[in-house]
Amino acid sequence: MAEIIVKENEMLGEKYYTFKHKSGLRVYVFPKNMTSSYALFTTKYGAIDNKFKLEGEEEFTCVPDGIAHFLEHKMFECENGEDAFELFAKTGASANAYTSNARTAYLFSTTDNFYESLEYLLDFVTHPYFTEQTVQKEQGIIGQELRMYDDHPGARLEKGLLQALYEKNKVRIDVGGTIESIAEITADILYKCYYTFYNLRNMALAVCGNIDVNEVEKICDKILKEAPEQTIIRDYECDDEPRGVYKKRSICSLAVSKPIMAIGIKNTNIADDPNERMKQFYAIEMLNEILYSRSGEFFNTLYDQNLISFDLDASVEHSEFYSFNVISTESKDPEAVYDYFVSFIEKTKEQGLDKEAFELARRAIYASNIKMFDSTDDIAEALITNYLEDTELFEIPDTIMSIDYEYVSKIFYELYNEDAYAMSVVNPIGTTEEK
Amino acid sequence: MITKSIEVANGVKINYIETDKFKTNYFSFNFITLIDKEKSPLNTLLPRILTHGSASYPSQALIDKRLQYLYSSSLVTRNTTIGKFHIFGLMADMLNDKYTASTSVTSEMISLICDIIFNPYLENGVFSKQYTESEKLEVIDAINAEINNKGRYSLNRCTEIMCEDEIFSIKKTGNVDDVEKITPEQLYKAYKNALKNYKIEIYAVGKLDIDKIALTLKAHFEKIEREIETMPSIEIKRSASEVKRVCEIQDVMQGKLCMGFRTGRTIEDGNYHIAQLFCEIYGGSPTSKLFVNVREKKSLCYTCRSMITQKSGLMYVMAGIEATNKQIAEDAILEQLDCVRLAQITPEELESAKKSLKNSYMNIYDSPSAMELWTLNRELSGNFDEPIGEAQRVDSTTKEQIAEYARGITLDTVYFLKGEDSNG
Repeated sequence: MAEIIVKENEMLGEKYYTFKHKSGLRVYVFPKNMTSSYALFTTKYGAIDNKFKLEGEEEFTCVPDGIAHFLEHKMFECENGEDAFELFAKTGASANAYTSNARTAYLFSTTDNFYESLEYLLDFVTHPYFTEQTVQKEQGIIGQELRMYDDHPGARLEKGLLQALYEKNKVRIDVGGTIESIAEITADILYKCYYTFYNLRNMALAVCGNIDVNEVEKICDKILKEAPEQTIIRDYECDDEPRGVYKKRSICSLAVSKPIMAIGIKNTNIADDPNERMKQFYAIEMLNEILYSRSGEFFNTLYDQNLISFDLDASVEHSEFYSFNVISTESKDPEAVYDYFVSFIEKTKEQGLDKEAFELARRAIYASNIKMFDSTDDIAEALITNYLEDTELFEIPDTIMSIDYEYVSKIFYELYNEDAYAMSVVNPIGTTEEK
Repeated sequence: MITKSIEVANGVKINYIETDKFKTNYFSFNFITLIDKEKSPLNTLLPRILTHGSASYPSQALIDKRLQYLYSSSLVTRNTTIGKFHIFGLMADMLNDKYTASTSVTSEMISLICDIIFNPYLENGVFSKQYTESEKLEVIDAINAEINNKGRYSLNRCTEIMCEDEIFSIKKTGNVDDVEKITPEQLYKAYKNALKNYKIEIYAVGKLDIDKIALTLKAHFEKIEREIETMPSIEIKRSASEVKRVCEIQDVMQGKLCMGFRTGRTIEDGNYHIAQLFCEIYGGSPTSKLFVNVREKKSLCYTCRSMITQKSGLMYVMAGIEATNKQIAEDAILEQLDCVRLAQITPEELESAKKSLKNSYMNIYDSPSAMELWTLNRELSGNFDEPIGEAQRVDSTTKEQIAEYARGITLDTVYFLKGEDSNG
């Protein structure tokens, strides 16, 4: 029996259990009185992990771009020819998977037969089966998926931005790879990646719903075998990444009605300490609320001049290896928005952040984090994010409230420097040359 | 699901779904009328102009600041069609008072929403000229942006072609020209008309003081002389005659195939769950015939799925493919439909479709907005069964019933969007 730790938060009226299973897997069980339950099985392995070795190995292995995503697709094929979706069809669970920069996740939600579905989930993800034929078939399907994203303005915008912000950092790699890179994938390389990253010591399981922690442990006992001890050494080559952006603009053309644009701010000020990093993250979220909300000057000035539409989004990604802030919108004149952005930031630096806006922003971020606890999916996702970031889910509300005006101001002055800005634009066809 | 319904005025009902499952409360205010070529573009603008400013919060910035103060409560406009109905209004969610220090967020939000709906910001007795113009521009941008999402664009084009003479092809936003000519006076008249004549359904989900809210609403409606409009019934086409084929060219990498079918039945004919089960088996899930055969076995595409709009009796199959594979894909899609028509459904397929469908019905209980949408949909079709009731009916459905449903489906339109230099 593993030692089960209970975490509680009185204000939220919530608690969860966590234990390290004897197989090496970290498990989180969050009981929640909902009709449906959600399970998320994740490996710390994503698109950025394309150069790695195990401790003791001499050479680094370099693999084709897009392989983590390819592997995710292939995991659904079982050795007996069955598709993992067919397993979940037996229980009625709705299953899916996704790959991002730093993680691959397999999930299901169900209102019935939770434990049986959990067995299927743990079982299929721990049983790889690849052959040259099945790899070839997948190249056709993923080829069409990549084509679909080629026509997707939002996907092109994001890709362009990351490739402008970063010169070397692996975050600039497209999660799906390219038609050319996935053509290099073979069954052997897939196995190599699988046995490196799908080691249970590099993985975590989070479940949320009407679930009993002891039952979950029993299922782990039944399905999971002890994983060999191993240490993965990953080379993100991010130490060589310059502070400034790689290029100021990334411009492409697509069949869109009006230019869409994203201004990125590259952040190289990333704390090593996980808790401090979490604090930085929420401070940047507050800054986004202060600077770009619809109640603020930035939005209203641009909106009144018809330079932007009602949809102005600001979001932040802040992890150990990369951090950037994105402001995206539609505009008939992206350069004019960019110029205003630069002058607005300079003016705000001179005047300092508005204190009332800070108070409202902190309140807004605090409230969104409480609202999150209404969704089993969001809770499981948050548990996994905190696992990957080595932080504690229940400390978030206190962390948010501990952030003061001075701290946010400090982050503001550190983050906003003109050499850290870049812009990605997707123009309507026939307006601008591609750069 | 509904705990209590209170009629607050003629044709105005507030429906309360009481639950303590959530940390948030949900509230929506919905005007309901028929889609109409003249009126829908005006109605589309209404929720937008109302949330642009009220008498007490006369600008977007002030409303937004108020929402931030009320613990990041959300207030969004609704503008949607369900079958022949145009539904527009506001949706809000807010944190329970339990989690907010000294602020009664819910009652403050209800006051804000009432202010927005009943006391709009006016200039010279009508909506602000400037606000009207900027909201028109937003809608025009959205109309122009329809080409950005190729999947949805082909779906819309397919509907326009298939339902040329029917209500379902009317765009709720209207065209750019329709929007451009709207004046603040016309818009204000449409607002008065909506408050006076349209059916209004209000929903509250969570833990709220429903009687108090009903009294507040009653007081507002007392000043309005309600005369509720009659909505004529609409005949739908039960089957297609000749197949219409349209191919259009745009600068795209991937071809988008959208096939439109007539199912012969609508939700008013009953047997909602049979249509849903058919869709699960045919192309609505990763174990469906379209996914397994067209995507996995033939490796033709990444997406290939079917969708049924039960209030209009239509079905669509959509696929993203290489343009050269168009005919192969179309044949494969129809071949799979024939399999269902011939009841070539294995016990496993039937069983898994039933489980998956019951799962999605039961999921509705986990989200305030999903419960509201379910109830609103039932209200519009006069069928008041709960998700759990539908889930129970799913169990007794036979594969012969599903095959019979499939035999009533006829192909009406094949729409294809492809790149300039692609063959096929």
